[in-house]
Amino acid sequence: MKAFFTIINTLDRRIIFLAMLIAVIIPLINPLALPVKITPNTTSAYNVIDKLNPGDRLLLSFDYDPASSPELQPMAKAVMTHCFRKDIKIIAVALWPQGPMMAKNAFESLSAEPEFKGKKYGVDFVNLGVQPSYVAVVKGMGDSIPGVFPTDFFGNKTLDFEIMKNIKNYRDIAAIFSLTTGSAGISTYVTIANAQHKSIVTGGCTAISSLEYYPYLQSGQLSGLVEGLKGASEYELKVGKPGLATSGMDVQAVVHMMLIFFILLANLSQAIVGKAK
Amino acid sequence: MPLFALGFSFKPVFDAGGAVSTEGIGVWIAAILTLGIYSFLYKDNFFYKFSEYLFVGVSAGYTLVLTFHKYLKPSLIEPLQEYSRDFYHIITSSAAPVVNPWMLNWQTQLIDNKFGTQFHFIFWFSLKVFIFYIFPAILGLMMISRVIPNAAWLSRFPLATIVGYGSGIVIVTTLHASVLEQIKASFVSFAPLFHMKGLDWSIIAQSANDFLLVFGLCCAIIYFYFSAEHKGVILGPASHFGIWVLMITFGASFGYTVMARISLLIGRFQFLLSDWMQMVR
Repeated sequence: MKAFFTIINTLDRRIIFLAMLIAVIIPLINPLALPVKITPNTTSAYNVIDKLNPGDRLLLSFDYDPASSPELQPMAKAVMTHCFRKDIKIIAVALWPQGPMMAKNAFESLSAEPEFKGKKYGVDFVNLGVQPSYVAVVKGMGDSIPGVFPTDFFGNKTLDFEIMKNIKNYRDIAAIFSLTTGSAGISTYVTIANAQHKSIVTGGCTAISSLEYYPYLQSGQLSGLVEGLKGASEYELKVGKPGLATSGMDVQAVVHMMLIFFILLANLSQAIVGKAK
Repeated sequence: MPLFALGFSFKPVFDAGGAVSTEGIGVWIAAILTLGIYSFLYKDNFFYKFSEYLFVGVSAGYTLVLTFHKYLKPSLIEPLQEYSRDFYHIITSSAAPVVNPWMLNWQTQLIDNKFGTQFHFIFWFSLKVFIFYIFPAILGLMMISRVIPNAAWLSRFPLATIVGYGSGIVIVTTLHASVLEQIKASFVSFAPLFHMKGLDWSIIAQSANDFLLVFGLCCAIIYFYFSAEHKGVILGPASHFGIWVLMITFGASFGYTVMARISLLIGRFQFLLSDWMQMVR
């Protein structure tokens, strides 16, 4: 037994990487269809959109870049799917420079699907792009959204779009949904749009930053939170359209179990054999 | 044995018509560079270094171009062009139309002799352009002075402006949203517990949760109270429990971090297996 743990103690870390590779690839090729329990936070975020009426405007803020897209892009698509099915109009803005491209990709991907063939740019969705100084942008939208975004991402005049008719500021927006990584995003909308303008703010974030927003959830300033890939998969299941996030959750389960096993094994070997020289 | 010999259908570089597919080439480049980055897990190598440097270079270049086209051009260059063009048209009494609404208003006032002399017009025009465009541009350039050691002190002025402006916007709202609202949320009521009829486990569970929240919050704050030694009947156990609260929070945070990092790995492998190798649909 001691010989086994001696081997474990001096194991080449590349063997662990190889094990990780296998643990990622196999569930992706052969999905295990492990159950995903839907958490109250995701349900709350889902309910915010579900309670909106057809024709209502949702401000969907793309506050992330490609580095966070494995978690947030499936979330964006699930939220947009939910909105399009309920005929809720989406006004996409961004506080991150690469956010508008993520919004563009999400809309192009969804509008290519047969279910959403009829969804038109400028009528059901508009991509207003990004403006510098995110705090000033969020604050400025409280006065005038077309004032902060006079043109959309492609250079067209914002007020020419049908979706922007009668839209002045947060009062004309039914809810705000921020897809956040980093500092610009949910906390900015909570501290300005919710605190000053009493707007309904909900959102989704990368798993790494979700604990940061729990105090806002507990105080009711944030109405629901979709957390990381798990939250994205929950939202996909809520809208009945399993996608990349749902398939990724099998991998999450397998890899987490493997990590726990490795941590226990490493600690056991440390306890039995002692520290490797 | 090459992978395609095993039956994998890689993303084709040519489309059905035989033309080069830019999407296909993009997928191949992304896949090769992804493998280059992951090759570091075996050991540091040229392929990894090349991919890393390329990523840093492309990211910097992309950000530079994006900043110019999305921030600098529409906020500084284009308005200055428009203003100077309109100014020229007004001064030379050209027949060309004045585009900027502000300049159009000034032109009308100038024609109606309501503005004063042409000197007044030039003065107010210069002042407006200086305050709204030239001065911010100078502040922006001063920020770059950090690269010159002797002139680095100049960057303090734009930084001070940003800090002052940011603080002015954020302090009140942050105080309200992140301090006052949070304090308010920590005042929980145990009244339902005393007014429930019979044993209502949902109320009991909610009250227990609320108690834990308040007690944990107080103990965590006591841990950060350094004006007295953490000893005695109250401070000792409370700060000790506060450490537990903090450790549980850090544990949860670590768990979320692991999940986030694995998600990124999953994202890359979804790309490799579906977009590149076309094994997963």
